[in-house]
Amino acid sequence: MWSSLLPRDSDGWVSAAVTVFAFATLVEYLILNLFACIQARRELLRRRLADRPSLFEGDLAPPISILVPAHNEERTIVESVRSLMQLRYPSIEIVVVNDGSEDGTLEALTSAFGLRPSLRTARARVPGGRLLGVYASPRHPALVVLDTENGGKAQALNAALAFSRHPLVCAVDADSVLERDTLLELALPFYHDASVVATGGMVRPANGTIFDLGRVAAARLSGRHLPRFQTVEYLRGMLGGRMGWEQLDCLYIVSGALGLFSRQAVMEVGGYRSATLGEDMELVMRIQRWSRRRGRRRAVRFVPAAVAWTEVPERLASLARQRARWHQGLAESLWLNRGLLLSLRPSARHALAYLSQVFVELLGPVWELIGLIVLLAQMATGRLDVPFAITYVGVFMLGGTINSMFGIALESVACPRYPRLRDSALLVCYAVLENFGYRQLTALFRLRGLWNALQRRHDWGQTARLGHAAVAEVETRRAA
Amino acid sequence: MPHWPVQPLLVVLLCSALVTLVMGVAVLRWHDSLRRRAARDDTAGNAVGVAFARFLAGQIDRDRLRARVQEVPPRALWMAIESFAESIEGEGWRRLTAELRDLPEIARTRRRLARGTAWQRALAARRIGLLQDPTQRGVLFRAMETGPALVALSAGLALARLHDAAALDWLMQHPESLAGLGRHQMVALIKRFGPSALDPLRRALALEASEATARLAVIDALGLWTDETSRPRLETLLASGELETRVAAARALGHLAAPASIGPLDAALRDRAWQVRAQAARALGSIGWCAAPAVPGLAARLSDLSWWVRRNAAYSLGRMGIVGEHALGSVAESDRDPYARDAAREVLQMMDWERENPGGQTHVE
Repeated sequence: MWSSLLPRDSDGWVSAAVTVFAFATLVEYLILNLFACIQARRELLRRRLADRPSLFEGDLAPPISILVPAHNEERTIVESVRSLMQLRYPSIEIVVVNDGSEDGTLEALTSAFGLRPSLRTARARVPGGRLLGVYASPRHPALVVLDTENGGKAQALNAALAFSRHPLVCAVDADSVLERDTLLELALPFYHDASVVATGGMVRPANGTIFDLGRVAAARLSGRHLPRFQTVEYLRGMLGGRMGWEQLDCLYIVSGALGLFSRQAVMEVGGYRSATLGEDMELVMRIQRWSRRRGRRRAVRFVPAAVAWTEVPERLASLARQRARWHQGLAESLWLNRGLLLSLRPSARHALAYLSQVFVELLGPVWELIGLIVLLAQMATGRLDVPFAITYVGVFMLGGTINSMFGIALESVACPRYPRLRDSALLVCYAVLENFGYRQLTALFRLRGLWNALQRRHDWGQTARLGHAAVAEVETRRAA
Repeated sequence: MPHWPVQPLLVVLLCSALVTLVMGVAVLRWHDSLRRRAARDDTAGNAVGVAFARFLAGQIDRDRLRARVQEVPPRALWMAIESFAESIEGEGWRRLTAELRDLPEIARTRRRLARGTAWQRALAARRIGLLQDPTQRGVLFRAMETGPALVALSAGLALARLHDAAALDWLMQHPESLAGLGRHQMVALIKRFGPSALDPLRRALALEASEATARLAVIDALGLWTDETSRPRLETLLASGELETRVAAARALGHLAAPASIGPLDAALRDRAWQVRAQAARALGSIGWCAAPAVPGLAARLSDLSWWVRRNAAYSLGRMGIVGEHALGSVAESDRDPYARDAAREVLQMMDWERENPGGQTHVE
């Protein structure tokens, strides 16, 4: 009886696989959005009860080192550092790493802040021969600039970690602008709960938004199409996705543009790995494994009220590169942290989250594009499988749109920034429009990232060792 | 020409479009209503704030104040109370809250403190606490006793605003009621009790509370209040406590910065744990030039295995005037240990920069 339900040819099998995947994706996203709604409500309640003034009392706020890797950022770096200096937090230091810039990044910093060679000592080893100089300023004691050979973002962050002195470290992108209370919001979970080791904030596209002296003067949606599509994506991914995963205590992604970590935890897991393009994601996955081994619950949190604004690509070529890089980073991070699934002490929660990352996030573009090709082929040959077509359109497109709508709605509750109804209306329109071309394009870019990851599979182990050597603590320098 | 079954596809597309349209409109309406409500609450909250200020200035009487307050939504009222409670204290606030205490919304909030979810009760405790009404002590105390931790913390903070020493005593005796609370947050809670907390804290320190977070928070708070009476006990803990207790005791003695503690802190520079050595070095720096007898001990610590100890010892020497600077100079020039030389040179450079920018921002920790 059951055999009659099975597909009879290869086309049928492909259609069935895509259908199963489409439904699984839809169910997962609906569940995540449901959890995200619960989390948003909890977040609102938590914010009402938050004891913010206490954080400003002397000695109570955990000091933060802000790590800023910069590569060819001559045009923006001075403004970025100035904006970081204006953040509302009792105790911060800023460690900028000039990661082998070929432009005048270091010169711009030197002339703006009066930098001089500094004799500041490192508390951890920096990869031999990579550090070219350490600079500080008598006028700005909270600023340190490291000049290193170009070794990539992970190595730059490891160098910054070696020179950072505070118990919490906040990794930000050099071109991001943090809102004035962002650090305070990110630090609150550390203050309220001793089990927290990492918090991530909300990254929003800055295109279109008006800034004045490094501060947001008016939040606006960009006038161009690509940033608008990306705004919808960011809201969907950050609010629907991350808040949902946080509620399930399986958050694997903290954006590289805004994340606050316990320095001790980062050092204990070995610092940033240069073996992957997704060093931020990979670090969080390792921290999750580390936390699980220590029985820590809810160690990684997402704070929607902590906001950083960042420029998103306005050209298709840049977007293609960015998405391919992100997807390659995801693939590499999942591979390097397969211990989340294959462990001697497996956790059902993490196994489920890991499998979801593999089948829905990583292989998502594969399923989606196969489905599209099959659909087009069926239409071209006049053999359209109607139930399959209905499923594809209904689940992929309608499901995706519903998912985006949840993201836009959650924004209104968790971190409203766009005051104009017009911007929200535009976002709703772009949530629908993205199904007609943009979504398929990004799936293609992501597929390229997956292919790159597969091509570079054998290089992972070799570079991984460099990342770990970079952050070996020298607290017991002569013990070895 | 292939035959395409257009009809079912069209139906699906139409249905999808309809669902999308409905959702889109719902999202926008919701967004708009939230925006309007926030704007309305802001306006009403500001109006209440103005009414508070005018009442305190004697420009309106209590009836007009109450009438003004009762016509705004509860959220706006609490917004105004929150912002006022942070900005004014003392007699003015007490006069104002005396007029507000029997409003229907306040009575409702009081009832919620006893009956409701943990979140509702915690929020109610926070709000009642903002009013600084001593007659609410009983109900807040009961909420704190009943828990759970979320409510106990909120009620504890509310009682702290009333400087209720009995509440702190109870918390010190029942640290389990605040299970999961971080040390910093507990210190903040204790500090909110103000000077009335000193006696309960001294008692807790003498009894050595069993719960680690509470014990460390007590030590930290006494240090932050520079409670000289607790110094002998802190010195005893520095010599004989557990690791975290010894670290906290060294930190507290650093806040006290009493020259009488130089001996115990100098001895702690030879502690087996680097965390204690680092904290003791820093504490000696806080005492400043009076701690000159500890200079040889600190100079020896410039060759410590731990970077933190070397760093803190070097910076502390930098705060000990000419004797410390001389010690740093000789280490920087002739010490055989390159790590000690580096630490000394770093601080000497910072001191040069400090001299170059007197009154600047360079701090030699």
